[in-house]
Amino acid sequence: MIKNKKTVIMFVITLSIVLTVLQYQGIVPGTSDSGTELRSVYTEEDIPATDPESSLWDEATSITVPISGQTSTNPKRLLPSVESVRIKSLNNGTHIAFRITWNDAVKNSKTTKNQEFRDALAIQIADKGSIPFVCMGSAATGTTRMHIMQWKSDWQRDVEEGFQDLEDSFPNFWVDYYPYAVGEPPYRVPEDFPGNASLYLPGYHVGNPFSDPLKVTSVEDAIADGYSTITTQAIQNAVGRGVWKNGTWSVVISRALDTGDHDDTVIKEDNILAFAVWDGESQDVGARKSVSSWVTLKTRGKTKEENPPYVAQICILILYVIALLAIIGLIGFGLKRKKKGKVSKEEGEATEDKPDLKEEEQPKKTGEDKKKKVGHSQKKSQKNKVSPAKKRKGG
Amino acid sequence: MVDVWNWQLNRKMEYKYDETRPSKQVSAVFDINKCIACQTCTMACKTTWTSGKGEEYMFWNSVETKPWGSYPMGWDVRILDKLGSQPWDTNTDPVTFSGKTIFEKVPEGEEVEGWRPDDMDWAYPNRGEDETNEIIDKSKYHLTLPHAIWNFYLARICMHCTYPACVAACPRKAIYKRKEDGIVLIDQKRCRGYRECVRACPYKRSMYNHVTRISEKCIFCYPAVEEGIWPRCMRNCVGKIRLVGYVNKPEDSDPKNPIDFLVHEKKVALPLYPQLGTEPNIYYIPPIHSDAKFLKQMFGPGVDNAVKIYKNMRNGNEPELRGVLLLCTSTDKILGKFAIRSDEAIGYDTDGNEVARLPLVESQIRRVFHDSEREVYRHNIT
Repeated sequence: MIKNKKTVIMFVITLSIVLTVLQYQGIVPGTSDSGTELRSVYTEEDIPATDPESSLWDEATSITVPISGQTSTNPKRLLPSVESVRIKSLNNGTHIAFRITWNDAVKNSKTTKNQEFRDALAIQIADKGSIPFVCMGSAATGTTRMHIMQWKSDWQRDVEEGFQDLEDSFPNFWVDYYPYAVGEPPYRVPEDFPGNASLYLPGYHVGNPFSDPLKVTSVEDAIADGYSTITTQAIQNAVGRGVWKNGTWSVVISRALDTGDHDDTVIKEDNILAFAVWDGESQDVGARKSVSSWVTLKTRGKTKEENPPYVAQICILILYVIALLAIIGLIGFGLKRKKKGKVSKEEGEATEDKPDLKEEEQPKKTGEDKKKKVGHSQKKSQKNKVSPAKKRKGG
Repeated sequence: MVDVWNWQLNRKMEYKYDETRPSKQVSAVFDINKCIACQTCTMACKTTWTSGKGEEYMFWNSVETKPWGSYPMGWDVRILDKLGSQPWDTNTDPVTFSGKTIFEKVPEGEEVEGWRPDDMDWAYPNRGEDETNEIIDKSKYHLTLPHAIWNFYLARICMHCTYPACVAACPRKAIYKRKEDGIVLIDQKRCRGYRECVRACPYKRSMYNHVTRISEKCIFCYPAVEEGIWPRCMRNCVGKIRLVGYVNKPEDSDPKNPIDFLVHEKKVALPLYPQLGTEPNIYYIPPIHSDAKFLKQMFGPGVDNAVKIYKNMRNGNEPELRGVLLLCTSTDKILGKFAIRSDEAIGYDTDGNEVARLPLVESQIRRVFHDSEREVYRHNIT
């Protein structure tokens, strides 16, 4: 009886440790859970930078992040438009992609009319350290600048279907004349508004990115330093795309891990992320949004940068197995002693726990040290690999 | 929220930012009694500033027929309805507003009480044109005073408020009030098209551009103002109802400044819906023959006094007031001071240069009906 019990306990412990080790190494994908840690799964393939429907996403671990209303600053959104978002992440060592999925019964992808507002999603990334204020950080608290990437459904529509001009929303509209415009009514933006004619499209003329009819990306790469400060970056490095199907938005936002742009946060282990959702149907815009709290990004063992080479990985695995055997042996030893039942309860626990802990810590330390060393040398060699990618992005 | 002083309410009120008044505040007085709703101001503005694609529906200057006209639809009654009945305390001198402003009666989570018009609300810029307060029938004697049947024309631009609702509402801080002249502008580079200003402005003078997808508003023709010249809508006024200058706080009122004279000294020019709390800087001389109750809701408790003084002027008892109002007709230079010398009114620009001089009473020459020298008959005898 006791023997059977012992076997079951040892089997469960062994299985859980092996699974943990394998998941930690990225050999086995994790299961879906709700939590505050997002694991970015490493892939050898090209990451699906603008494809939320790629089968590669099946390899990534999904976490469900609860969403609440934005109640820190006016105007507020007291209740959220969705209860939660589901998030996955993939990376290939140089680039990272996030896929965010949430329920939205109505697709809103135009902002031409006074009453039209877009569906949108933003990821905010900061370095770990002193946890910044979740609402765009704060210059006053001396914490980091926020790197924000916002995907916008109306920008995507402009990119995919061409600029949504006035006549696209008001088909019966007619005009005879605009100052300095060339061509024929209804005069298309921007091609019929060269030179002086563009003066009459003020936002476009001064280069406001929101007024740009020739958008190349649906994702705005921005920085912020507290309320009211969100600013479109000079260099745009993020891309993305959303697909709305059957009442669900699935949006990918992706970027190089290190863009070389000093306005971008370098994406790495233990970065913290927050997510915001805008529901156009509810007239969400700006501060009227639904938000998550901070989620920690885990890339260890997943990004190429920190992923040990194959041989090193096997070495680590062997070390884990040795450690595992040692633990099993110790547990077995402990159970045997308990069976003898001569030691008092307090003493017994003390003497049993101590060697357990020592032994448990020992192999882990070794593993981490080894990994750190490997990771370091890998980083060096990785730098050379990253640079061509950076050049491509910059060009 | 901080406490700021709003002299039009004769009390402190809550506002998002500290009281930081500009070094000078542009202002204008519109004499409603002279407006004929020709819309020349509207077109002067339209052709200058909003003839671009996406601005078709925009009229930064509009003229509506009261009581029924409104652009956008119901702009004033909708905000008044949201605020509900708000009283003035008439036991103080000056009268004190004891109700709540749009900054004080605010729903949870909002900065300012407001509402956002949709495209249909903007679609009828001259709805209610020339309609009277009631249907004209035989039972009404519309030659009684004040008129039983009445309407009047309300020309409107941005009020360039001392406490702009648009500035308080913009989470981007894309709207600012210029230190040098108090003109309120939307930074076309910073605006992200949230439309919080469109929602917040009780006068509905922020407008969303369909094509550039950001908001725009009246700029008080600042390039002209910087040269000492009146804005386009003011210069082109056919009815000569407008007078442009700078307004001071009541305690700093300069009796020789034409705007201060009309607003603070004679108290004949009144703010539009002062109870909303933005301390608007465009002032109106109320129509003297319309319904006083309606006018009080619109221009505050000073209406009776303003109407009385204006009527006095028409009876020849206010030569100074007559002189200042005549200056409306005579220059397009922003006035700093005025003077009345015997039977002449003189206007000076802000540097003290004389820019207008005219008689208080135009000389009249009466010509005989039959000119025997030329053997003609003259029907026009003045």
